[in-house]
Amino acid sequence: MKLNILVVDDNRMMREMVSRTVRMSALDVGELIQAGNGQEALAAMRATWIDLVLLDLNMPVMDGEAFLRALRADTALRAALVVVVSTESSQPRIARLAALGAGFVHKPFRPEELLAEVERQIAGQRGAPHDCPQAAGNPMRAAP
Amino acid sequence: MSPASTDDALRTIAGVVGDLAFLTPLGVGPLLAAGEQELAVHVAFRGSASGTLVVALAPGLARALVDNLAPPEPGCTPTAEDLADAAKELANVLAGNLLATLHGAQAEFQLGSPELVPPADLPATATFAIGLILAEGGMMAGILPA
Ligand SMILES: [Mg+2]
Repeated sequence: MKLNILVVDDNRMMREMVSRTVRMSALDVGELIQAGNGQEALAAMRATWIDLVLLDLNMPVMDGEAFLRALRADTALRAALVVVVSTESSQPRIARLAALGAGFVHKPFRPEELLAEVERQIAGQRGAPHDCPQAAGNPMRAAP
Repeated sequence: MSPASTDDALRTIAGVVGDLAFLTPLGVGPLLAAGEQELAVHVAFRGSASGTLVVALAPGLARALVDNLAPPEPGCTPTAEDLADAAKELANVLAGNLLATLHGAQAEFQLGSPELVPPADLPATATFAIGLILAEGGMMAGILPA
């Protein structure tokens, strides 16, 4: 299945580098879109279905952490996979990002490190239990 | 900075520039005077500590960054905007990594947007100032406070 990918970074050169890494990988890439801050990224996600966000943290207007909170609070967008790509080294902040369901790659990164984290997030999503509201409340289900 | 911190800082600088510009670190260089700089970038930070980082690049360094990060099409030369973007990203990554090296993994910082500043002698008023020089086979870094 093709992955629609959104690259969010305030630095154009970094967006190009991350985009090139994705394009040259074995990932089956559909749309590859770029945004310069969290606000632009949310607007892009409302216009186009995005499967994976590659997200910088330090950005003007809306930073990566604020974007991630807004994303997870939005029922239409919250399912997107997110990998943060940042110079961030603070363990408390990295833990907060992980609690919001984001993977993490430290800048500077090698292309294979970014792709390995993307694969890990995709594998994690495949392995995640699905929401089954009918099954959960199904009176026909045998009691354990 | 203590001598041990300066060594740690230089190791961090060497690692970042090595990864981003694919340049071998050759060691400590002289501080870059204003007239020897092609580009200079300023990054403010606040949080567990507050201050500023200034990164000055000698001619050729920004081009080396562009060639590694987003190489231009064959026959094309990078624009001034390309060189500025590369220098800004280098300063951003240096700031994040240096602050972690010097303050540890529990410290938290907010980094401001990197901004180009006119070349000037590396200011002793900055919390850190780094001058990067291309040398035969790699790069050398001068750092303030030494
Ligand atoms: Mg940034």
